[in-house]
Amino acid sequence: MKRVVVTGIGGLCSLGQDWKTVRDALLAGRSGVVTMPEWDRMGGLRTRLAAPVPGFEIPEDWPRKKTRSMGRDSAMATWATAHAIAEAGLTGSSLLSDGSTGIAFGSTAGSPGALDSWAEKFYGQSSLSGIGANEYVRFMSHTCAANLAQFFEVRGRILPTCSACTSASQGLGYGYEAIKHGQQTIMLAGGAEELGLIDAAVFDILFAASTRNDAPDSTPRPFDEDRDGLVVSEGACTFVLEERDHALARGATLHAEILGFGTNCDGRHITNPDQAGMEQVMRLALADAGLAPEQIDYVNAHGTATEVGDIAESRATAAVFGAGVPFASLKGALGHALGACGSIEAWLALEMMREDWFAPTLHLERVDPRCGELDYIQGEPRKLEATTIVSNNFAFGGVNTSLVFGRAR
Amino acid sequence: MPKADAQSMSADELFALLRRIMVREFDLAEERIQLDSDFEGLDLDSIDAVDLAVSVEEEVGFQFDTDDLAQLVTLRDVVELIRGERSR
Repeated sequence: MKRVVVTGIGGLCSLGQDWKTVRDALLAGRSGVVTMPEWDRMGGLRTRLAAPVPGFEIPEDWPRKKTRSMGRDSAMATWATAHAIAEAGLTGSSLLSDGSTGIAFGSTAGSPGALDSWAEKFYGQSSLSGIGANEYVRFMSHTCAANLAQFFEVRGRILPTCSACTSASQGLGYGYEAIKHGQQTIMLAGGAEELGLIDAAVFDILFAASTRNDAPDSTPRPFDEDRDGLVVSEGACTFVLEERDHALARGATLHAEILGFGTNCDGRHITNPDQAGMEQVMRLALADAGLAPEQIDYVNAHGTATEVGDIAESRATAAVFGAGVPFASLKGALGHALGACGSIEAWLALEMMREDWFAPTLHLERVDPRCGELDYIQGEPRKLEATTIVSNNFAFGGVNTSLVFGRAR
Repeated sequence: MPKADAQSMSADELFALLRRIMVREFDLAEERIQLDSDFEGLDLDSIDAVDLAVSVEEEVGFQFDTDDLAQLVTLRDVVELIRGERSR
């Protein structure tokens, strides 16, 4: 089996488009959550909260023929990937196009903006008039992976990992497995999400979206007894994953190593999480890494701030790792970036590990007594020298993922 | 509803319309777009041809047939087709 290292990361989220900006926001306890008065137009919608990526525009120097097929999600995915490739020292490299590089990348669906535009004409006006040639490809399920492939002229395997909130973490995991088993040398892996009213509506219908509309600076509140649901967000994050010997031979900087990956399915309920499935996926990842639970220094939680999700996840984590493991969710600060959250959170967790500190779960004041007993990081950032961390994500459909990362050695 | 009627437009008006659409849709400099410019030379492909047809239909109500698009090489061909000066 091959070892898989991280040689580049690029990302953007509601708190910024580079680590330094995001770091400053996390240390200051700022969140990306804002109110969305433009959502007043939607009858029946209770939430008015979201965490958009501010200030992102498609760069003007990108060729039109490569951007015409992009919605905002694919554009953010491309932006993140370009930065990851640059950090890996692979900009313009023939390695991207000679078949040795593949893509494992997902989003919950295609661009909601493009879908809205299509649906308005197709269903609203019962007409194909005005529907252009690019509208479908902007909202097809594998639009991000397809756009990345054409933009960077990637000719290896394409693994679209469109599984809602595990889209990005499955991207990382399947990218890791493609290299581990010798099928590709390099994988561009991760996920993206474009904020759309439909995302908020999906959770609002299920009474899972926060409605603290007058207090955006107090929500979401993962694991807190006063939480009232999640806040949808957006963004993108790409990892350049690379076979370790290959990376060393070309003199690349190794940022981290993926030590293990587990994915499974609860196989029980379409939306409700299952503690047993969550426990099992963490054990699968540890087994893949060949590590014992006590060797994990920090667990980055999915922690969306839904009642059933928080309780099931924290109990599962406690059952596997015990009460002493440092544990935190970044969604209090970032919101829930759905198809992008897995790679964004892994990126930020790795950056924090590199700097020997970990952010608290923003807005977590009193842990819900029904949650599992864990070392919740609350209030202040935690000074912690970690060498091995876990990042977990869970999705509708009972899909679970667990990733184990280590410092590069 | 279309904003104008293709049948009542002169060749010059149709050319001006195509030019305006192509500047807007394809980020082309206006001076590059001439009556005898060919689409391939302007780096436009089959997807662009569909988008041009969609815009023309929206603006002046002219509907292209499936076979039309493959036969159109220059802007002059489009103008003549809309004016009924080419066989379909």
